[in-house]
Amino acid sequence: MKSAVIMSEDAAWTKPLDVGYKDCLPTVGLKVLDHIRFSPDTTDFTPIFNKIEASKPDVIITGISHVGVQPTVQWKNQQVPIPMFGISSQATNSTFGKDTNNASDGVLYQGVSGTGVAVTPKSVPFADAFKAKYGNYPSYAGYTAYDEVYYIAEAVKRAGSTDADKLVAALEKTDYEGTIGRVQFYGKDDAFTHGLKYGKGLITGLMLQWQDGQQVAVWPPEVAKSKIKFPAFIKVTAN
Amino acid sequence: MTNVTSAAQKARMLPLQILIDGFAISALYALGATGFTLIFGVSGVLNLSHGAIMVAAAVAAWAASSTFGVGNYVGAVIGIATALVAALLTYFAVVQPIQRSRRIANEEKEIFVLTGTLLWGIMIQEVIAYLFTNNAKTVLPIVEGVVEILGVRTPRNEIFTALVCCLVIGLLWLLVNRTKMGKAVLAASMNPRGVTLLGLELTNIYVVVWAIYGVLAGIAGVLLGMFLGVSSYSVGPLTASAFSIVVLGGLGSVSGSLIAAFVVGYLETFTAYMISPAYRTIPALLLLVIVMYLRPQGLLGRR
Repeated sequence: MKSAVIMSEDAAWTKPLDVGYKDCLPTVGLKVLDHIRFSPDTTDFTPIFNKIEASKPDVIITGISHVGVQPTVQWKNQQVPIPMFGISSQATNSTFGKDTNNASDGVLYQGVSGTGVAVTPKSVPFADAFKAKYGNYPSYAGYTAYDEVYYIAEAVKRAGSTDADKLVAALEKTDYEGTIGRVQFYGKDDAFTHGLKYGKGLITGLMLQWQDGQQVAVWPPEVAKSKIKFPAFIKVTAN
Repeated sequence: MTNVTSAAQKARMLPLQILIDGFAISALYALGATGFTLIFGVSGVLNLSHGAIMVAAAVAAWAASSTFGVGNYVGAVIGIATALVAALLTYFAVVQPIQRSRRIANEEKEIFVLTGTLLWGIMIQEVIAYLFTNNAKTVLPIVEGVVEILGVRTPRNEIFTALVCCLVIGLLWLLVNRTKMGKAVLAASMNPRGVTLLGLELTNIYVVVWAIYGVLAGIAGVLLGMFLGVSSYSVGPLTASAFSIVVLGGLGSVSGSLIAAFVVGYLETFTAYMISPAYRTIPALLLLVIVMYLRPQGLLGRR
């Protein structure tokens, strides 16, 4: 793959995301051919897919959350021959397959954890207990929120106070194995002040793909359950 | 192969693309607006729960086929039946009590009906959001796959949508102009008092019109669910688009609504392709404002 088009919904959260996409994609050898920001209330994606297809990218890099079902279904119905990869928050819902009548097959999305994926020993029991209680598996926010409750509570105990400064100092020392990986934070003088530390042994994030109506982890290799595969209408260009 | 088409070919195909996509969406708008304008023409009711009834049809069709696995044909029928029930319920539970009330002054009844149907629509919307979340749902298309029309890759479902819309509108025309029941409906829209003098029960005619409306809104809703997908958020925009099409075409004029639906559909598609998808609805709304200034009765309005 050599080229990409960024397709993001026009919302505050995608502004820094798109800056990151534009900076990082060329470093992995993907030339950014076009950058499309569309209104989150868009219902007809035909003109957008046509515009993307005209610039002939090898992949569409997504930044979508408010929308998800509609572009995915129209991508399949119109047989847009380009794979979609990136952030697609609705795809993290276990109901996404049903909502799209499995038009989701082939969609690649980033996740923090996923159904049946043992990112840590806590991941699968949490997801199963969540399903037993609420009827479906958690979306991305379910995992992060669950972990947050625990490490914030620990920090409050360590600080012996809920005073903001003491709590920040305690949170900086966080070393907590949650459902999404091992949680540690950068210090206040680091480049990514108080951001989550990413990397092997900490949090890596996952890439998952909808395959035959199921969410399947495809990266990193330690937890991958399957190789990437696409529906017949997708034309994947060679590496 | 679309992959090897040159940029020049792509540019030549653009007008055709707009022509095809615009036709499908316009036909869908036309179907949605026809029932809306029919009710206004016959009984003077502006039904602001229109969008909610369309969404209810699509969500019911989705739920029937994805949760209960009834298949897409049965699912579509369940969707249309849901809209029919919702439309009759709107008439009997909301519109008729207001029209018959002695405590509401006659000159205020129109505004009561507007408010009542608006609230009713919001109630339906909230029930859908509560039961099925506000995530978008899509109805499984009855025909899948794509065909190339002179090089433009077109989903078969888009062609199917356009055909069904034209067929149903044609059947409606036959029903209104060629059957006894249709003629009674037409007569009621011209002179309600005259119809009652002929011994026809006006309420029966209203029920028939609401039933026709329900079926039309149901078909439009299910087709929209297949074509683009709907969510409980679609309720407001769908009512608004039907309302502006009907006002543009002339309140109560079915042929005016048909013309207006194509004007709005093509204007939106043209804007989305040539300017930006983000500005899709703006020129059509500006046109509505201009028409309101220059010709307040709409394109083919009578009053």
